[in-house]
Amino acid sequence: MKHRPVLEMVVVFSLIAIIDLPSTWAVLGDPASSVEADRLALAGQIRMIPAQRYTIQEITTSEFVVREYVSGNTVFAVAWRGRRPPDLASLLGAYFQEYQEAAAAAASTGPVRRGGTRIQAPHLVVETGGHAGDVRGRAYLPSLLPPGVTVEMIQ
Amino acid sequence: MIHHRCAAVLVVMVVTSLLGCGSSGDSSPAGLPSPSGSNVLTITVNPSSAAVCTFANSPCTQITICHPGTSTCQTISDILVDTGSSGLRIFASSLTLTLPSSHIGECMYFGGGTDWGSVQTVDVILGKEPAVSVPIQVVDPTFAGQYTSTGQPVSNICGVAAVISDPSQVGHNGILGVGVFQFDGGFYYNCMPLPCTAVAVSPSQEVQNPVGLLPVDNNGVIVALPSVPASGLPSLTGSLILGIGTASNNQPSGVTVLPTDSSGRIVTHFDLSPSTSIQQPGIIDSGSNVLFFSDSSISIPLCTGALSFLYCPTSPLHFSAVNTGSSGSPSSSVNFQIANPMPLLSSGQAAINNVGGPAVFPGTFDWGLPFFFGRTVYVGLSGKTSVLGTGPFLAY
Repeated sequence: MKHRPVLEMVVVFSLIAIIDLPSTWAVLGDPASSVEADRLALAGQIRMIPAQRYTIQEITTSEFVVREYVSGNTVFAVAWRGRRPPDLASLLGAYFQEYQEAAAAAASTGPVRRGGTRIQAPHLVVETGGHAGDVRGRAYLPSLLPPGVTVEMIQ
Repeated sequence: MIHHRCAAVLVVMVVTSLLGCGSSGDSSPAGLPSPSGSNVLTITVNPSSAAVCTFANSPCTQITICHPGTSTCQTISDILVDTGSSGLRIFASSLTLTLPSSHIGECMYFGGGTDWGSVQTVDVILGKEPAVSVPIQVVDPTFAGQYTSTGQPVSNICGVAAVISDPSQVGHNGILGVGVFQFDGGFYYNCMPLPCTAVAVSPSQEVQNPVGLLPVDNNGVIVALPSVPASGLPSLTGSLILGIGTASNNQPSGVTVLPTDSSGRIVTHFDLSPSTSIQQPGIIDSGSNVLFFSDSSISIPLCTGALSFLYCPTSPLHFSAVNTGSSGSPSSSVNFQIANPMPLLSSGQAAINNVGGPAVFPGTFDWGLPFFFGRTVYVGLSGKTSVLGTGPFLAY
């Protein structure tokens, strides 16, 4: 396991809500307040993890864990791991289309590989990997990464 | 003829991806003394007969599936032997057999891609074993209208950018998952009526490892591949042996048994430099064609262009790592090399023992096919007992 940023759990909400999926989630570039919508959409538990340069809002469900990275009240990155990924169309929102287009272009130039994929779209980068039963990934907006935050911190 | 096919592929693809295509069938493949028996399937890397399974370090075999309860069968070659997953998956486009209709769909997530398709129960014949009735995934992006024929989202039930669409994209007609677990851990949907909705299926309806259903040789498998020199080989032949200690040809000796965790992982201690060692989960995955491991501190150069997912050191690098069971013991050290694979790939070598690349998303040491060369690897099925103990375990 790679090192994770030093984290400290401060607040734990143990709410479990079971409701229908709203049509939109918090997405990259959205205000931090939208993370609560994701928690509801995912019927998961949320906790807030302050780090030095950002806050992580972590949503845990029975199938995966999603971490939303917030700085300056904006979600600048998301990461996930679990038995399956979260619904990326919902999680990436308006950015999903450019991710999909960039992924399709990449697929046309080479085969699918077990080592994972790194897709560079115009405004975001999406990296996926892991293995059957433990898939992982992250998506981030390079232009919104706070100073001093490296990609390795997003996981 | 094979040579022509390969030459064309070489120009277009070998240097652009980790793919190989053997120079031709003119050199005899290296091989161990071939075990024989009803429980043996031949594994080949880039055989001259391969139409699809031509990627470098891609171990394939053939299996037979039959319409349930009948002798109407199809033998399908170019099936990837995968110790990193469980269950049989076959592309619908590779099937000539007409199967009963199904309204159950499945998303199966791998590290590098996602399979969508229907779930069907068929009779599967492995080697000369008795047929077993087992649910398999028929990989078809267009099943229930979820994706286009090229894998682009329509309704996008799996929630990903694209699903795997055809054999040429992955270099096989299907996957025979013979990992440490019986069940595949996929996500199931009822697609009649549409839209598809998540559904819990009973274990007997889940896509699962057909080996576990065999009458006798059902406690795991053995992957035995010959060693490969640093200069590579154009092709090779080895064996997938069913059962551990269940027959005269599958008796283990002198192996280290590494119990896995509930995700099929061991622990790998990798010495990045003489003074540092990081501990991370490890998998032993014949379906990964290189050693994927992160390199946060020594910065091995990457290859360029379309091979930029591989390490391209200026001279061969020698590493050692220690694998342990998931709880920390026992331990077993592994030495390996990483070299520039480009000369071997461009000269048509398809079995390469010193090729690696970074895990795109770091955190797991993936012992891909190079690990298997020159080893006999035992995969102990979860909950099944053999002379090596009770699975899940990996041993070598």
